[in-house]
Amino acid sequence: MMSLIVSSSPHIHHEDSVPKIMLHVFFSLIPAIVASVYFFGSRALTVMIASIASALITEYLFLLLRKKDTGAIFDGSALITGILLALTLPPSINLSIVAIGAFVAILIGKQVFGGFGGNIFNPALVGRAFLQAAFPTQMATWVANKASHIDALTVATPLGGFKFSHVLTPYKELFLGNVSGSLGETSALLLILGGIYLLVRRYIDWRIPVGVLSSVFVFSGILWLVNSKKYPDPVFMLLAGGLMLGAWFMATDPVTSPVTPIAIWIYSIGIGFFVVLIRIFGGLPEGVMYSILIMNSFVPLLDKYTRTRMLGERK
Amino acid sequence: MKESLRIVIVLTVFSILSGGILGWFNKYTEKRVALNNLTALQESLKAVTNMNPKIEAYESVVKEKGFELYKIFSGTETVAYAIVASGNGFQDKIKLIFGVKPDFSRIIDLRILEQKETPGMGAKIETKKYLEQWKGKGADSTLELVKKKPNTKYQVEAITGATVSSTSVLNIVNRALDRARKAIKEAEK
Amino acid sequence: MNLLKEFIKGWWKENPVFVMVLGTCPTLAVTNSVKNAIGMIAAVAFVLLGSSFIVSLIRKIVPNQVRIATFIVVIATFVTMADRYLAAFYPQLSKALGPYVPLIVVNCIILGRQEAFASKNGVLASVLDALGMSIGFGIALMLMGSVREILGSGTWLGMKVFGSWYIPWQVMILPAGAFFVFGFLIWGFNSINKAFAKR
Repeated sequence: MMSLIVSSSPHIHHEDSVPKIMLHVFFSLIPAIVASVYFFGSRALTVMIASIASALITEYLFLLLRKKDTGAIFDGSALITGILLALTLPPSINLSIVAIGAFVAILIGKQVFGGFGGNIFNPALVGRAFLQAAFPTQMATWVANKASHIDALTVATPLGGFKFSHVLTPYKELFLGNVSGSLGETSALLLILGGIYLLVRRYIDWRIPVGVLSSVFVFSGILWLVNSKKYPDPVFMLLAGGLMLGAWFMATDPVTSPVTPIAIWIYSIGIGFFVVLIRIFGGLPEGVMYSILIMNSFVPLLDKYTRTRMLGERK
Repeated sequence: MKESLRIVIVLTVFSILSGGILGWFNKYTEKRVALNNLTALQESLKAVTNMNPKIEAYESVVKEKGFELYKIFSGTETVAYAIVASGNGFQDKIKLIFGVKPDFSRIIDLRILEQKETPGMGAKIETKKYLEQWKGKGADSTLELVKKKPNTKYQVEAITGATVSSTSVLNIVNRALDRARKAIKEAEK
Repeated sequence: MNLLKEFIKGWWKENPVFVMVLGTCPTLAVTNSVKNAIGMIAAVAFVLLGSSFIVSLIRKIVPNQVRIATFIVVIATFVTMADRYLAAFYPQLSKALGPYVPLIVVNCIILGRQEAFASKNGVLASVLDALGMSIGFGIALMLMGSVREILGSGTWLGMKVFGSWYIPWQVMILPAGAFFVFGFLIWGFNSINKAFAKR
């Protein structure tokens, strides 16, 4: 995409329509979806179906209520929101909670802002944030991964294990996905594969994942150099938790990320900064969701102050 | 001139009336409020020292900000100490009370008096399941927080998902025990 | 007939909380359970009725320049009485409501009614206006409290509403939940009012 990002008119016509972009995003998520079914069984599929169904129904009802074209539910954006939300949830979660999450994601995350394109925050993350606040216990109950051969009902996630018990999970497990966690955050490898697909197809801006991941690496690396006993090493920070999912699929949402290159750098480095801050100094083990939501709220401001000025335009 | 005089008179009259009414009303309620506070204290003293049906006598040994020590008697014999202590929780102050054996061998019982922790998470420090485990914990040494079933009487099990609140309660108790042991030594001198 | 209008208007059409958006501080802060909401409604109704009555009585002798100061003295007297009364006879409720009872003194519904109505109207009309506004405030707080307690704890006034299958939405008894419910209720009130206005 390089310099083709334009915020104010004239807009360059792009042959890709919303449904087509969403279709490719869906393709890119297939490795993560397959992995979640492999690691957590058919339960993963049930969670995803519940999430998608609730998202689509909510979208339909509120398009109807707002007297808009209900055909918009087929643009795929509600479908992707449903999938992304499901990927951030623990596999054992109660299905009614999943449905509530998708309902909130679409209603509060999207429809109240005027539907697709008008939302400030990533809808899937709004849904997840609501669930985190509404059902903190259920959202922090993790079952063991099928491939990890751990004989226990509930286990700690790699980040939770580090935060509360100071246990480091080996890189190989984190990379391949033999760890507990939400449906879509287990295997860093498969998430990167999906992300690269989007990158090659040029549906996402390369600066976002690069900015997020490198800033997490740098900030946590500084802390690790200061005290390697107390703080986790940067590679662990990159591979553990929902960072890969967030950096490749959530932070890159075209509606809720900035358009000018400088703004994108500030945005993505900001996300990385907050991730490290929350993970290491906060009360929660994971902070990718809140980091992205926080930086989402800065997007309009960032775009406003970094917008390229027309020749001769005064400040 | 006349107008400003009226202002002065009206404001003065209303202030005096208001002050008078409130003075009378306060007299009417203050005894009740004091009694409420006293019964609340006696009730919690009774609860944490296992004194049934009522406490015969008690005296306040130390009373300062965030720390109160009470001595509970049966006849002339000291049967227990009760400690009211507060400290920072996850969101706001946590205030608690607990009873200790007179020789500080163990904690008799513990109650939470005030807390504003997250409902469903930190607020679980008020649940019976959590408070029950404090019965019989050692009071002669520092207690520590564990994530599993405690092995010794110096270990306290944390609440899953509410490590911060559990740590806060533990710190408040540890600090209060420390302070109480010192206060009693001083009193004996 | 006119008096009836003064009495009714606060219930819905000029609902102090959802239409005029006044008194939002107690609306958001103490509605995590119906019991707290009832305590707050009673305290506000007492203060509002008392001060509207006194203010409309004295409206002709209070010089215009110091009317606000005088009203505040009257209101503060009633608020302090309500606060002391709760502390003496309902210590648990008083503890649960915390600083929000003394804060009634800055509740805009109360000063607003004195300034907009009681200082310009007769005693009967002012008391009816205050009663109507209290009912409106009561409706608002009961709605907020009911929704938040039912969703957030699965109970209504301490009684179980759902079976054991229900998982409480903890966020509803937290401050964030208050904002969600408040937003949705304002939406509801305005849509209904708009629908009626069209007819």
